[in-house]
Amino acid sequence: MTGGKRRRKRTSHSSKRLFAIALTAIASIVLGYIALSSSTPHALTTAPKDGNVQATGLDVGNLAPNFQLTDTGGTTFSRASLAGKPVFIFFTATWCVPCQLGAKELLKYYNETGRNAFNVVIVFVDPSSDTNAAIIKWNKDFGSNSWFTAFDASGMANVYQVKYLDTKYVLDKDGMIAWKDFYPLNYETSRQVLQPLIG
Amino acid sequence: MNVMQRAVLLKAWTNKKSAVVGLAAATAALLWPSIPLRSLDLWLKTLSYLYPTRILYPVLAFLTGSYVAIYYYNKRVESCCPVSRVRTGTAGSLIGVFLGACPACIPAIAFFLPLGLTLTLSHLSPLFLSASVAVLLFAIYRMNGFRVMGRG
Repeated sequence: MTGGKRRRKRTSHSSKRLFAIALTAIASIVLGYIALSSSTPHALTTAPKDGNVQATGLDVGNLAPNFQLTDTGGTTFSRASLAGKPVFIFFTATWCVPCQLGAKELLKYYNETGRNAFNVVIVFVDPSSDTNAAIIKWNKDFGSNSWFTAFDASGMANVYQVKYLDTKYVLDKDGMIAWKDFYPLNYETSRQVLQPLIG
Repeated sequence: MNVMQRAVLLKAWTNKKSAVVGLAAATAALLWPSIPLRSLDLWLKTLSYLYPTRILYPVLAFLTGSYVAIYYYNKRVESCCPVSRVRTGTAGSLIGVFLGACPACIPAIAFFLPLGLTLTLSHLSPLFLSASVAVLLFAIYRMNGFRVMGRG
């Protein structure tokens, strides 16, 4: 085979190969995502220490790490001060549209349960856009004035190992982690998770 | 004689086989964010709220479909274009589809990144989208997609 023919053949093969690589990359990402989505809850967690379910950690059944935040009105609150009722903690950014839609779904359930059955803590994590004014507007548009909304000035997202916007933790009335997730929230999930805790 | 009918892009879209392939690619590009969001309805709502994504993303999906249709047309129907130049378009599609889709729809990528970098990528998503649209247009141009050719 001459050099020219070989080169042409190689070019054609390299195009095919490139196309195959692109398709494989897309398929791998989608399959990888599906695989990860089933295992990620474990990746997010810290195992209970010495098998003690009371250990502080990020696994379901652990005592949630403590936090202290100051809301837009200047009120400071913490895990301890919110104890006595279930707490829905929602890490987001003001511009996150799926999170906004999720918050509206949560609000539906919140209103349905009398606006007093559980606490909602919205933690805004984006320093470049989550100003006090933006948070107040967000709360007016998608939340409730009885929700605790605060910018994460104390590094709570780090402590809670938040990697995605839309990460959510639900604590029971004693501050134990009862549920966590990072998929967009809907009404039915809110109800299923919170109803047993509200009792 | 209709000159427009001779443009390779239109030839690819009017050919049954390449149009089906292009349409499949465009649909996949348009709807894939519903996988990480786990809801088609939520993705469509999200898309409708985001500006300029709601305009740029469907354009990107259409261009991705056009690009694939031209590639298929050239390979399987009628050799018309320099297929060795596919890299630009493939890169453009992948960047736009995976980084430009939607600020909160990139958990597949965010899994490997710290939160701060994910937020930065999210802020840049309109930029990625615009760049991808430009790259795809250039790639289609390089594949002679806009070139008027004789009847084949």
